[in-house]
Amino acid sequence: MPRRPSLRGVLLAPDTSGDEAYSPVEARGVLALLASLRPGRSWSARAGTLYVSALTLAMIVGLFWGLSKRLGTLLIDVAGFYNFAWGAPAIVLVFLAAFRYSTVQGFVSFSEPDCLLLLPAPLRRKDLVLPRLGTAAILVGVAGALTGALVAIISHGATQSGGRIGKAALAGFALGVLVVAGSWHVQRLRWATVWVLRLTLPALGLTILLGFAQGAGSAARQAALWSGPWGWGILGVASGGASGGATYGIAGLVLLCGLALAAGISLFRSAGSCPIEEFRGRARTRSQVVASLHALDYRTAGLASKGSKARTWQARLRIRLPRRQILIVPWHSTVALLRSPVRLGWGIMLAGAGMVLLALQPTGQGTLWAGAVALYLAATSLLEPLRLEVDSPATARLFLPWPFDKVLWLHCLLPTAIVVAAGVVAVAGASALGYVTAGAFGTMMLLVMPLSLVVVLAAAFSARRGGRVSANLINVAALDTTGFSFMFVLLRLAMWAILALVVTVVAVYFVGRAHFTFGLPLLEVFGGLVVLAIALQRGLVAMPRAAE
Amino acid sequence: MGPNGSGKTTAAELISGLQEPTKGWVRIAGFSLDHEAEALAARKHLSYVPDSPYLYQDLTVRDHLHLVAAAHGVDGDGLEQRCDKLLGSLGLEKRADFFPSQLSRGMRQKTAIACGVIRPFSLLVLDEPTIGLDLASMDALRDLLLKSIAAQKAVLLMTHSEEFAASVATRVLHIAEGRILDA
Repeated sequence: MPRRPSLRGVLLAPDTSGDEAYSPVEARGVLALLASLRPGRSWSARAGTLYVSALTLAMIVGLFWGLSKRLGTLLIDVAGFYNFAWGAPAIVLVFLAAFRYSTVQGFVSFSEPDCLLLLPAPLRRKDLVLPRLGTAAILVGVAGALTGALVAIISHGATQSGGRIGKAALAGFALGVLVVAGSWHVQRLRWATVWVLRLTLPALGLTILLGFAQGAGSAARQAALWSGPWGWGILGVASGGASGGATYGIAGLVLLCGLALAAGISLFRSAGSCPIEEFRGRARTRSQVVASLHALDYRTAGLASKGSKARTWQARLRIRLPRRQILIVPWHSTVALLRSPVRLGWGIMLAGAGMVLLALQPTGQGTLWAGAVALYLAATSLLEPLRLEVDSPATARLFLPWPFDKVLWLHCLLPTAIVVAAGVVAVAGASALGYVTAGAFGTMMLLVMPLSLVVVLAAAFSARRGGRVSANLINVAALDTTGFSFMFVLLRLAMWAILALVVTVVAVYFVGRAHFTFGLPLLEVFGGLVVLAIALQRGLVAMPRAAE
Repeated sequence: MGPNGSGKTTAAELISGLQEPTKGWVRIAGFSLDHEAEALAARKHLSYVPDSPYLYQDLTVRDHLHLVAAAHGVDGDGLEQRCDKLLGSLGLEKRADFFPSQLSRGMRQKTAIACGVIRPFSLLVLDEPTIGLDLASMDALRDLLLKSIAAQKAVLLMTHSEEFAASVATRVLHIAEGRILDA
């Protein structure tokens, strides 16, 4: 059968290109009509929303208040030890977070019906997009200004002059506008989205460099602050006693405001040029994420936000099947991890960093908690193959001859081996460079195996829940107006993570204190293992029926 | 027409401007979809009915028709009568004030079809419009499409149903692996 290459050149409708210019429909009128068609919300419904929001906020603040104070102490502890300054890195992290958010959502969003009924209509797209962009720029700018003013007041006390606070607020506003403008370009340009994803790791590296450079000396600090908009806004504050600090501050502010103005102009000029495809993809993602979060299904929400882009080069990766039947699950883990090299890289990096942090200051609680968290995150990252198994439990039941608890054990083998190997190499390297004492090195070599096993098993038990909360539990929590059941649900979500963190921190802390012998921490770690084994024995890891 | 994964929906969405071509171009009635100024004119000529009916959950069937008409600059005079006539022809007259959550899949599909034809167009692109429709509704859709064709409108229909295609099409194209084959 002869082939026709494409529809190119096929006239799909009468050629009217010679007609007089077409005048678009006024978008404002259509949006006003849409607003008038929608039924307004009653005052009681609004009051109800306000009540629920306030209650939720109060519970979250209450729950995390102590944790946030602890986290603040931890950051100061870690930063102070290495002379690390947070100013410029914090701003880079805000930029990075906003840009990453824009790869899946962004500040301009439309619903799926909008994408099929409004955006394809002959309305100027700029008229639909610009109001949303403008609102976002103003809101984020004001939030930046408030943050800037607050930071200025906190860092220099109540004696701070109005001029300084004003400059800090202006810098914050300009940074806010830059964040929105940059995010918009990430949202509308596919190549920008791709580059944000590619440059995330280098940007995190830059963040660390900036933090160390600011604490390294005057020349390094100046270089770090002048290197980009992340430093320009804080030049006046961070230069401190340096000669010409005030002049630098004004120069930086002028640079920042100039850049923000250019960004604002680019925002205005490019508001009309974003393909419907980008809005539609984000609308789909948002509706999936919202639906999943309503059901407390974090796993599906997470998967939806990542999208499903085919990676053919990874699909081509093949490893020969092992002859021994029992090795099939580890083989599956290996293939799945090798096909996600970024995840594998993160896992190895976090495992190494976690073990080194634990070994650096065995009695410094900040570094201990940071190390334990890194170790747990490494384990969760490396257990993705198990999560994939839990996502479709029927597959494991149909294809594998073993009960699920055995599958879970087998999926833990490779992550444990990776965490142990990465930990040993990293701690040995840090020891060779003189950062870890011989005693701490010996301790970690003794603890690395049982600790890794505890952390990986706890992460696996948490993963077996499938990132979901059972419908029964949600129903019970919803009926309880006191909110305690909701707290129980949250606690249940974090149960295994808390166990892993506590076992890790307590074990290493005891070893770090000279008057304790190795016996106690080892006993404690093995105690953790016994708890996990009992959980396994009592069927706590069996596949939940709801997930089937 | 074409098997699953042959590229029917992709082709429909490319023509409708919902997807960006990685190469090549699309012109509707002589206007390019690539440039905003020309795309506005192209969108005046083009109407697209997707395979899944995406509707505002807080608007009724009639509200949808009013909104789409306004978004395409249709004058309000006689709009109500046109809506009633169109809803009647699709068997939706008793559901005109229903919200999408109160409608079956087929009813929602017919609402999406009504949205596609309430406004003026030169080219109507429909992606699997018969999904979820009963026999009477398929007959109503067939009549609607034949009337559009008789009124010198171009209709591009993506479907699995050979019988339905044969009853309305003046030309049947087959698509496979993203390429159009001769009928």
